[in-house]
Amino acid sequence: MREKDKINILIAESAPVIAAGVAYWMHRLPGLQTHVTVVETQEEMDSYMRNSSPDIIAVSLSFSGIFNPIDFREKYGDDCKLMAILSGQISPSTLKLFNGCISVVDDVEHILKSVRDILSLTENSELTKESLSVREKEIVEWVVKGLTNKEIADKLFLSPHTVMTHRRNIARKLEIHSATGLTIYAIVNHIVELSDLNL
Amino acid sequence: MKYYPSDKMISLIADDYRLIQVMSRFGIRMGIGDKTIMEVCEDSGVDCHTFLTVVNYVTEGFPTPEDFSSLSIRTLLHYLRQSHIYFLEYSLPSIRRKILDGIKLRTSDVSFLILKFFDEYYTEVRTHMEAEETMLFSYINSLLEGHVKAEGVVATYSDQHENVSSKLKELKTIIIKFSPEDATANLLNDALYDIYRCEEELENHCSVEDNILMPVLSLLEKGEYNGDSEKR
Repeated sequence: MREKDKINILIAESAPVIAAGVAYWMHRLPGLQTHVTVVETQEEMDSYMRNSSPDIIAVSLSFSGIFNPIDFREKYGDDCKLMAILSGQISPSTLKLFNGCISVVDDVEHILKSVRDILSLTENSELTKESLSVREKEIVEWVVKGLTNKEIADKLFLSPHTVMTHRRNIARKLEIHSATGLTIYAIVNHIVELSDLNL
Repeated sequence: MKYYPSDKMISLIADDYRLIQVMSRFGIRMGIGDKTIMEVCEDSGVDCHTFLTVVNYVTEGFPTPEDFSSLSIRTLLHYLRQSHIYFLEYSLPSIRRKILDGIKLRTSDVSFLILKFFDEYYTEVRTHMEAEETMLFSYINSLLEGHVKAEGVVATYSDQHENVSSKLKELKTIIIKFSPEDATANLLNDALYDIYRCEEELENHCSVEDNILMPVLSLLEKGEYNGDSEKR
């Protein structure tokens, strides 16, 4: 998934308080740059969609009466990423029509995960979420052995910025952010031996 | 579900057993009979309004700010301190024991690192909570005693809260993904259950600090706070 560009998010929600709440958090997703637009009526949505193609459309089930994902996709294309904004129950069959969902009681981490899941689904579809690339494993090895980002960059002929990007992706894929956590991962997966390390 | 002083205390527990923890941290013990919330609070010397504000916040998930100016900050601080004691002296050590028993600690492999991760986490939580008590709570007390406002004391505490609960998520991930094969399933499951519960309690605790204590503190700093007057 790319992290570099701003992610364009459209929020289609007729209830202003919910719309404001969702927009608040979509603006503040840790590690992601987002651009958020809120529309409250069908007319606003149509005029927005004429000029833009948002990366994610977060829409409430009751938007403009009853929101119909099938009609929406017919009108605007099959590749639209629809995220349901749930304030109550939803049947699994309805949920299937969306690419993902958030609930109004979700905390920012859940929202972040849903956003990431929806976007990485298309761009990394051949890659299972948890598996690291060869390069990423190399970086894990050096991180665990105690090298700084700068040292790793020198060793692997990368820019420090690239190393940072790799590290962010590693953290996302493994759901591990700490050095000790990475060490455990590295040992279990035989990237390093415990005896190689100074603990 | 919003509760009122005239509701029976026992109905709280019947509706949501998590409130047992809240009661106990306020210093309310079992043996409440059929008394109302108001009566039990009076018997236990707890400010009923503050108790209900926390209870209603925990059950409803959002605070009712119009009541903040008359909250008893001292009661609230007592509650938060008791929560700290609960996490540091009881909940987290008990999780550690279960992990330790479950993973059959050896210095030669990951079981050792899992415990290391836990210990690092514990130290972090402890440092955060102790700093809160020595810096933030003392600052609030000094304000209550009429000392002047200081800049910059409040800034960092909420930021650290995210770390406190996200690290616990990571601990779960590590145990679930990387536990040694010979770990004792029941003990480890038990530890995981406790971690899930502890995570929820910590989140609640932090959000009481962020969404009740902080707004009250800013009222206090602005001189718009009216509670605890008889004690000042």
